Amino acid sequence: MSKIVLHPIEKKIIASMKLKPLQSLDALVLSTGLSLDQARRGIEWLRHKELVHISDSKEAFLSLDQNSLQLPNMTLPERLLLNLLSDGLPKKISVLKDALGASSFLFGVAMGIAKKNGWITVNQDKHNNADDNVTISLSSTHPLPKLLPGESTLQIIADCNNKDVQIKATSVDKADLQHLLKRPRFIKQTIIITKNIKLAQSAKKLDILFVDDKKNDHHLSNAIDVAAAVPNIHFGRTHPLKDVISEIKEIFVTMGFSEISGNMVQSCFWNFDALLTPQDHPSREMQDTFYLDDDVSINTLDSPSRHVSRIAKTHTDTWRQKWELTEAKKMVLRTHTTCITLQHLLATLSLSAQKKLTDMRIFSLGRVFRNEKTSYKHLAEFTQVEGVVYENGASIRDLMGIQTEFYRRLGLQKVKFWPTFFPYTEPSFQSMVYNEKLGKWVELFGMGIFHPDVSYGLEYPVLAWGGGVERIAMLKYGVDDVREFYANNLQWLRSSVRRV
Amino acid sequence: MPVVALSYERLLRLISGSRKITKDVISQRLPYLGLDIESDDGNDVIRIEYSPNRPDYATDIGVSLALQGLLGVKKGLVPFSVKKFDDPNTTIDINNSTSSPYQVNVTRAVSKVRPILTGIVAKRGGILDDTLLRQLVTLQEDLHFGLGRNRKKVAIGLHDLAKINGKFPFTYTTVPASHAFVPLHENKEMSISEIIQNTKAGRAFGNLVTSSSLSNDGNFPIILDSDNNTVSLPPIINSNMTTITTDTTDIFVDVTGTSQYVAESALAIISLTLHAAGFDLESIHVAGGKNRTPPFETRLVQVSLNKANELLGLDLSISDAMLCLEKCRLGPIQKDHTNISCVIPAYRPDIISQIDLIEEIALGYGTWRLEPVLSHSKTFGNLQYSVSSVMRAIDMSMIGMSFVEALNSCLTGTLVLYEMTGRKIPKRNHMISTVNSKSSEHSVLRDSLLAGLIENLSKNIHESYPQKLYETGTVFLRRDDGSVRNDNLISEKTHLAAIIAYSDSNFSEAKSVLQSMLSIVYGDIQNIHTAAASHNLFADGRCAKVVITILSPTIPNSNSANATTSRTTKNIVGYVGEIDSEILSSYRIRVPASGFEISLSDSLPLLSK
Repeated sequence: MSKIVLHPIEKKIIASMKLKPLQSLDALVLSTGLSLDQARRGIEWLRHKELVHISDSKEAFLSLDQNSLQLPNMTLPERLLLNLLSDGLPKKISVLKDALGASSFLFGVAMGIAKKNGWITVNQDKHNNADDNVTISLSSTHPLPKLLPGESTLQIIADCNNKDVQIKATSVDKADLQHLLKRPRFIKQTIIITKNIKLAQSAKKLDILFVDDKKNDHHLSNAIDVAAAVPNIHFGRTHPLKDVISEIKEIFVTMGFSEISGNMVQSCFWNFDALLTPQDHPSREMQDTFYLDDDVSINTLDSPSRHVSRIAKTHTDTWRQKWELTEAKKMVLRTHTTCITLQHLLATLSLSAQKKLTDMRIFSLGRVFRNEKTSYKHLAEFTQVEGVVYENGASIRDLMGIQTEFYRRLGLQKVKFWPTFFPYTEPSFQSMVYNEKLGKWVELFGMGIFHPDVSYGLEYPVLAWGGGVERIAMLKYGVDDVREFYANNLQWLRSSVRRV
Repeated sequence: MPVVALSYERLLRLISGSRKITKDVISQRLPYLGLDIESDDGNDVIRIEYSPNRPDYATDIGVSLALQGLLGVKKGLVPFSVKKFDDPNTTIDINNSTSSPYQVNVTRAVSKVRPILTGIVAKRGGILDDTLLRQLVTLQEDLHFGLGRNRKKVAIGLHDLAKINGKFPFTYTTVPASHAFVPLHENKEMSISEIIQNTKAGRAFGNLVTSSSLSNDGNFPIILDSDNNTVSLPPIINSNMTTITTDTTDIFVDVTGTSQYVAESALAIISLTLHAAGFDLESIHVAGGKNRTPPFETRLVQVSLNKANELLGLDLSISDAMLCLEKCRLGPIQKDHTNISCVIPAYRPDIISQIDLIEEIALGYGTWRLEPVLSHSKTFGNLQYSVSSVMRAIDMSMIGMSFVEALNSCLTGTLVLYEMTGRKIPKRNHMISTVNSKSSEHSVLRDSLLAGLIENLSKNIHESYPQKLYETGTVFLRRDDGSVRNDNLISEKTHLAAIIAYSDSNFSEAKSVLQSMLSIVYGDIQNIHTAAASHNLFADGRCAKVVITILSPTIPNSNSANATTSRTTKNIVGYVGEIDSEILSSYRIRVPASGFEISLSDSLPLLSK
């Protein structure tokens, strides 16, 4: 048999049980000297190890109730009545009532029982019904029993109650007890469930731990069951998506990028026009973009008029259609963070003394919005990150290199780039990342060089790339439904684990 | 992104290259034309996504022309010719023309409705096969949707020439709504009003001609033949008379619209496709208004070799770069030793300036050959210090107190923000709502984080308690200071909210959490206190406002003897309390909850003073 580690409490219980293999909890408390709580815990541990079995037994206990407690000298009412009549003379009802206490229930009960059993005779004048004309006498035909039904049992219960000793229903005469139980609120029966603890067969053989080995014993007396299950703690934590966001920010910073941020509510001018999205482009329609009520439309565009008129001219020249200022003043929830990047670049340029920008690496990370029905792969509001490199001589190949390194630091090793089309970058690419779990290439971030009409006024090309953070978080947390990130489902928040 | 189904077998036949060009080569190279393989049935058919700037990729013919270039089977401009009957640059007297037999006269009536018409005639010895017909319809639909902006700018009609030959000249004019003809797919004559009300196309596109104020009186653009039979009701529907079938050999194409440039671009794309499919093209003659016979003009765009090499990180010679452009089916001509002038065919309206040609050079070079390079950063990176450091301290203190961070959307619904929290829905101009959301859950910008956290509790009533949530995020408030509306009327503030739900949750605990968080984040918080208040989210008598008191010296009054007086200002930065039990019960949350919400944007500057 393998060695079982037992707590000192468990050892005491087993020692006692070996002497008496079936005990109640109370008996065990007495025999071991443990506190009730210690005994309970010890029994629970032992039950878990299958060294004891526990069974419940029910037992009824008797005690006096409201009506029996009022009896004078614990004497049954009918006995009181019979005592009054014991001299053999008939007595008037009024006399008997007074003797038993006119207001109490005793007289009525006593008369009922005595009459039913035929112990008394009622003598009545036929012409006068008044109580005073009725007399009661002992029956001449029915001899009185020495002990009335229930009398001895009541005595036993009353004695026990007085001495504060519990009395089991099984320890009195069953038939005699029935006479008492029939009476209302006379005897109370309390059912008590007792736990019986029985030593298991396997425990009977257990003796190794009782070997008188001082050294060993000392060691074991402190040992606990280290393999036993313990409860979980509800810890606090930051949101898993936020953890991915922090990680991405850290990667950017370590690669020399500085954080910028800006408003989520933007004018159409910054969100679309400045980024060369034609005013009749499908993506500008209400079915794709969240427009805000017209009453918050901006009054004056938050950009120098030189910039506005140049953008207007570019639109008219490129698409050969009129450019409407009112359209540009409408407010939308930004559909990307590129508007923030561009605002930052142009503002820094206009503040610089020589009207020249020095090398710059910046990134922005924040919520963006698309008027879409949400599904397992689409959200109406999600988090986008965008990195921008402004350096003399930087080419599309540098952008590919920086992005490959960015992905490598995120744990994504296999990357390739496919050409694509975006309105505000040219050339444009989408990066494809190999997903080991799915066994295929998946589309991740978009990238490109700002179109010269977008980065007008800047000396060097502006390299940019960006995309949804949730997609990366889905890979990292093995999440299949992107809505999980904003569902705030506590079960998930308390248990989600990073896989990659 | 639009999608088209292609057959490898057909592509291989159309490319007609060497045996080395196999199905595998094609599937490897398609992505490098900007064409994503969306699905592959494993047999022969693939579905590819193409970019909206290249509608010529809507057919396998267009894709095979590009693949010919990329794979080096055929290079340079795609052969293209149109039989012309007259010089498009000279004005022809309509009444005395001996020019094209396919003449369309445009009346002045259409000038304010849908002024532009152009077109082409395409003839072929054989019949249209089913696949080609389907590809043409795909192209037509794509041009309608993309370049045509859902038929507003451009609508294309394809007609069986045999059924209308000899009925020229056509007239493009307007007719009243009572004008009747048998539309495509119908078998009885219908009036225009009936077509607009009772046909699918009429309901979808009728508004393009009825919403125009000038056509309200019933002037609809129409193409009539010389017998006054209806050929087409652009941009809604063709006549049943000219239906194209697989028996059709010759086609008449009409393109109508609002922009001549876009209409001619769309015509060029269709014409190129028909020509490459083996049709002989014959010019139509258009006159009237600003219309002209389609010129199919090529353009010249220049590109600097140095600029291209700089942006692409390459070291191409001028002949290398020219070869790249030829592989994109363009016509480069060397201008000098560093500049290329390039002939751009009419079907490529997407090429406008130098940068477009640089992209073409990259594509022709083969972007799989562009090796990533990693250079060292010349800059040091930073987080936004003031925000990031405080946010981090807040996160650490909240999770230290066992709170779980929640993230909710900024865009929420009136249900969460108002109805469930017993707040009256204000007039539209007192909340910030979106105009046309697809879902009522995303219709209003939140002005409170706590309302969202209460809703989060309701989704978690089966999880074990205590439940403690916090969130930092942006809320949106209207500036109501009456300032001039030069600025953005909406201010975006960062808030922090927390909520505690379990059987013993109460005001004191919420205030304790707030106090502990503030003391860890800000240190000295002696000037912060709470005072009784009422708030829709909190129970009466169990709610306090969080106030920051600031002592600010005022400018000494010259008349006063006292040198300086100071003024105290009390700034309400948030609320703390026990959540109103009615809100909890309407959410079926069975345990009490308490919490707080404070504005970090408002308290941060006050506390750091």
